[in-house]
Amino acid sequence: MFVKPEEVLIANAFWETEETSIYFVLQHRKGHGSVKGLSSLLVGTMDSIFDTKPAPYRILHQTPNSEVYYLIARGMTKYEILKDWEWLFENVCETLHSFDNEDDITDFVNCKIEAVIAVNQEEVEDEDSNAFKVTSDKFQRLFGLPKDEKLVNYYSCSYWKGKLPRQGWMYLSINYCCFYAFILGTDTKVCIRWSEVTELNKKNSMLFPDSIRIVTREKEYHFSMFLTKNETYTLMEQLVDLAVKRLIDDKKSYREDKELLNKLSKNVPKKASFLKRDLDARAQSEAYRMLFRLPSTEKLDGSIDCTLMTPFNRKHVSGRLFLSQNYICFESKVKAQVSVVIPLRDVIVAEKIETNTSNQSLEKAIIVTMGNSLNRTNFIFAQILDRDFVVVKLSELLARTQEMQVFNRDRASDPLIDTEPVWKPQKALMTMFPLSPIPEVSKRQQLKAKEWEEHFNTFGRGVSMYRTTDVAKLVLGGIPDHLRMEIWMSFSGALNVKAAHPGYYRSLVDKALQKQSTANDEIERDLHRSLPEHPAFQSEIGIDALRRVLCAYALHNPSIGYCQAMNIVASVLLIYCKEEEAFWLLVTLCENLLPDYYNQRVVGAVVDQGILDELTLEYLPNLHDRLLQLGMMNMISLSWFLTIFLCVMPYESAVNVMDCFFYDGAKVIFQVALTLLEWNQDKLLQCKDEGEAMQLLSEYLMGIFNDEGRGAIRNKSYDEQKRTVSIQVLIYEAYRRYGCLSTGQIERLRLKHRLRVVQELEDTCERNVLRCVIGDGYFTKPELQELLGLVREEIISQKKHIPDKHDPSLQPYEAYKIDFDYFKILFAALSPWGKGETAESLAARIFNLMDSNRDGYLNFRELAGALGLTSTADAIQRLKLLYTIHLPPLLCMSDIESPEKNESGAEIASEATDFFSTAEKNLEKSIDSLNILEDRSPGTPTSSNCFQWQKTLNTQPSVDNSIGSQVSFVEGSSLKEWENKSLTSLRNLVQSKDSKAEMKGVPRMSQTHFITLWKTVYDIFQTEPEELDTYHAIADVGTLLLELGDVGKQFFVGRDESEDSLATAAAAACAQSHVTDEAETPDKNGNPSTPRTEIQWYITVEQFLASILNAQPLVDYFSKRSSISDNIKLLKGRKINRYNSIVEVPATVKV
Amino acid sequence: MASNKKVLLKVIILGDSSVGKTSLMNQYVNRKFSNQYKATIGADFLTKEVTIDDRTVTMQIWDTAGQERFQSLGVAFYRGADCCVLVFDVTAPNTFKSLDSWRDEFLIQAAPREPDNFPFVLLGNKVDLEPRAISAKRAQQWCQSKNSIPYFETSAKEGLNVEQAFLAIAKNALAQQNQTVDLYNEFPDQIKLSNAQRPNNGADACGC
Repeated sequence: MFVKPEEVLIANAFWETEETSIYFVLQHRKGHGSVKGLSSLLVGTMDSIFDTKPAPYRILHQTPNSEVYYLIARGMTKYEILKDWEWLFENVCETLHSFDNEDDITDFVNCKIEAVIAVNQEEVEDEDSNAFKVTSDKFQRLFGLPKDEKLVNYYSCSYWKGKLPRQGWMYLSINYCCFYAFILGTDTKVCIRWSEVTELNKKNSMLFPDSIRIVTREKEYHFSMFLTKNETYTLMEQLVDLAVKRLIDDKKSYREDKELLNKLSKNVPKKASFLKRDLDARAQSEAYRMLFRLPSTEKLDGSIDCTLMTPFNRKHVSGRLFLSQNYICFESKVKAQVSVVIPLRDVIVAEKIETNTSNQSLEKAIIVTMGNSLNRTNFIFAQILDRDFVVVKLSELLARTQEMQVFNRDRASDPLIDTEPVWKPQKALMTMFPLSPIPEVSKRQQLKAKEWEEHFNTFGRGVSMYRTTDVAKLVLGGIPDHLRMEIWMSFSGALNVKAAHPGYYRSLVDKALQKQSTANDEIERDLHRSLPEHPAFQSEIGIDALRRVLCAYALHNPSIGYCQAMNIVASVLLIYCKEEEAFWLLVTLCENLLPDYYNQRVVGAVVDQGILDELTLEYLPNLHDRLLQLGMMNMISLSWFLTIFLCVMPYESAVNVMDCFFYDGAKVIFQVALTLLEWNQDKLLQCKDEGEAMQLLSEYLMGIFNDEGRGAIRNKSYDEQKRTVSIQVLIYEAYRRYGCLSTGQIERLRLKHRLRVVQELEDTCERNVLRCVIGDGYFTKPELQELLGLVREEIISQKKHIPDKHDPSLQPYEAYKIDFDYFKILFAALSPWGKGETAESLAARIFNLMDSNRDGYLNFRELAGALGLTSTADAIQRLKLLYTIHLPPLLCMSDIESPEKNESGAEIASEATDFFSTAEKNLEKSIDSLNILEDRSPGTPTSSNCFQWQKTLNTQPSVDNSIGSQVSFVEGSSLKEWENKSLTSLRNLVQSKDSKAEMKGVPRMSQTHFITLWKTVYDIFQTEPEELDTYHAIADVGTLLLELGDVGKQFFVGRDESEDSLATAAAAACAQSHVTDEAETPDKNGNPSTPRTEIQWYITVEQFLASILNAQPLVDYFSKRSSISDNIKLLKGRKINRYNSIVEVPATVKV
Repeated sequence: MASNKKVLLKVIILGDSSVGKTSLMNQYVNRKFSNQYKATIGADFLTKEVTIDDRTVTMQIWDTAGQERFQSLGVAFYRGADCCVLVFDVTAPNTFKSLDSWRDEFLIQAAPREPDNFPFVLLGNKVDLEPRAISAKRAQQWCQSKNSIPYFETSAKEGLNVEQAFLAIAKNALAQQNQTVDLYNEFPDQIKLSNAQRPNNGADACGC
């Protein structure tokens, strides 16, 4: 079976060649078939451990002068692979001779094979046109990208290389921005990963006229001469934003929306790629949701021009009708004239109005009748060109909504009605803790309430009121207390989210209150520090409600959990709103209005800080310079933004800002902030230091008063307080001066600053990693930087979810983890031990040794250790490592000898898999015991551990081979414990630089293990330049050590083992696991397991070290510090075609 | 060397959430304790005039947010600090454990010229509460390991040792400022000596 050609790194490790031709190699896997021996078994085990299990036969393609092999076919049987082999000779080989360039041959072969596969494969993705698919294939081939890296769109443009523009094509995919040009025999390739981009903007300079500029950490790129620059730019913005959001939160990674395929799309041009259409739809939906504040699941279905009859002024307003799963929305052509949001859940029926010839304006009209208790009314849309279609669509959506409602009602009414609930949702706290009325204030509130009442009568009430500038004016003036909840809920869209999740809050609270978590602890600490001045929060009633809301939110959104400032916001919400409403407002606030504000790194707030900085520069340039000098921006904005002024102003004033905020979104915060700065401009310019400036602003803000909400104020000294400005004036001025700021503008600015902030955070993160790792002393800073660069690229490209990336409780280097597959590649490329035939098995054992938490990943520090110990550490450390990785449990008997019963590698493989998975189940338990061990003997293993290793050596073979039986399960667990303990001790031994002290504790090595070790030594040296001296030295030292081992026999006899306490413990553990006496039972495969009392051959680590250190050529080799920088460059060069960082490859091609 | 110029000392208080940073600051500056403080968001600050060795000094005390996720956002506040006060809660072991990370983070972000000699002061707060989780001895050991940081056991609620602690803080901050101002410091030893003595004072003064 032919497969998509992929590059193979090492052609010969694990594979044996059966047939070769000039361009092709047919191989089978070692360990398959009749061949037995050490390596065949090893391969079998390796395959199973790392779960690769490749097909046993394969065909590689290679040209004589190239080092790169391509895998082009695989087969499960020899017959199968031979068929492919013959096909190649009949169809391909002839043609190949006609090429005179080897690269062309490779291209041709790869192309041909892909074509064959394409024919065989069923047409899975019919969403894209064929022409587009061809381009997409070409794009993947050109830049060596994986098949799942789908092209979104491509554009003709020029890339400025130096001062010369090169005409070519720009390819945009989900993860990359690529450019390819082929002019005059030179091709230019640019490949930029979106997640590396630090800046993206349009530029128009003399040097680069009308161009798009992309900046990464390393380089700047300029592209120009686009046919559709704006479209291209918008798409680029969208893609880069996706990438950045993914950096903030892994869960936000891009997923295709297959539903789009089924969508009845009338106006979407078919020629664009499926992905492009998807992205466009996404952008439109987002704009739609933003405009009408709809839940994040809402997808725009379509829109059409029409008119809306507005009963309040008896007019027909022309505008556009939008339809999505759960809403009908309308927006007037004239901005802010009128808009309407109609939730389908409130609609009873939508039908045509029969044409009335006398009234032209009601032509082609639809009437939507509402059944909402607040709003028994109807909406009339007219002049709908495609009325029939809209009506059909509407009835469809309505039918589905009604079904859902029935379903939800059933579900919500179902559970636990009979049991008395533990808690009852709290009413708005202001009703429980009424404030002493101040006649003046009550009068104003009543007056306002009346205005609102009138407004409701004219424009309707609830979500589907006619939204005009009239309501905006009312909101700006401040909402009366008793209406706040209703208005906040309907304008912020929280009501819509709440309606979509009946019963959710209750079940969330039930779960959250029983949970133990850091978030809950943090919440508990802050409950009394939220709004202590309000009597509601001096009582358990308010505190309990606040606890429920915050804990429920922490459970609802674990990526945020709990962030200080949320407590202050939530407590204010609870004063005016019922508990469940407060929760949904908090949800809307955290997730839609202030995205990423409260997450683990407070990214959103820092982003908005940048925006405020930019806006200040634009509107108040003088002040900006001064604030910059004082370093003020960062100080003020965090508290302003995170609490929406609630903790810097008296809350009953700040709550008016909240009114506007829920109505108009985050832009209000900027408007108010800029106004405050402008008013204090002169005084701020006079300030000598940041302290003075802070004091000035904080006094000013605390003096902002609200006479209309005054009844709420607890502060007795209210009248004596310094009064600065009334909140009403502030808000009015904020709109008058900075009303020009639009939500769209803020969103665009957020995109830009998000890019910068996230990349800065990544940089900081990497600096922290380097700081932690550099102390280990294996590599220099530039070396580590390059290595980290490789790891980062790998993490981004493998698209695997790395959990807890930004968990602050973890060390920074924990965020950069690699699995064995990648370690193998790095080890082969960077370590001097990685070149020989045993490299992969060495890599596996070193990986096991270094993986201290046994999660199957090496974090960056462990990786640096693993590579450093083989390439830069001093000779003794390197030799200790070499010795250690040839000890059990790293090197087991089964790895050395081939048990006779196994006929094929595969069988052993599966057995080994069982073993490892069994062992893994017991991981947790063993980690506990591991900790105990570490506590007892921190750092250095003591001599008592010695027995334990010996034990492991003995139990190992028997256990290995009896897997599958019932006993082995238990055995596996205790074995795993041994293994963990010994690994920890070995690791400590290897990593400690102080050489003498702990040598005594190191276990001795048996003869079989030693022979394997010595094979490894030969193998490592094979890659070195032939030197007779060296080989003599190896031979001499080897012989010497073998002799020493014989001598050791005599001393072993006299040793009394039962002295140590650990030995007793070991015996107990053995008894537990039903291993009676391994000495008496030779294992199934007939391996004679050595009775403990028998005289053994052994050498010690001291002997090993002393012998090698006596041979100068060996010392020289093991002390040589090899630079990884050069190797990293080589590796990067080779990987251009596989992974791709920012690379630019000018290559000359013979024409 | 004494100047008549008005001296401004910038002091930063760091430590985990709810160890009592705000309370300590208010107890020192306003001599009162309240259980009605809000959690600090961003930062807050108060000033106080003190007289040290016949010099009038203005202390600018910056109180910061304690939650872990705000730790890396401190750069703006740390700028130009003369002394850093680390606070932990003697009844909450975790607040003691994170001292290292607060100290490291401060040194990285503030990047003082001589990180090894930058004056820190450690306060073990809430000694009025039971049960204690961190003994004075353990705290002092930590201080010893960090170049002999002075240690005080305080209670912001009862005003215990707060005055003394902040006086020491002011002195250390002043010493630091002199050191940075006078590049040729004549009495380096003197300063070291006073540093080494203070831990004992703190322990002696604490009666519980």
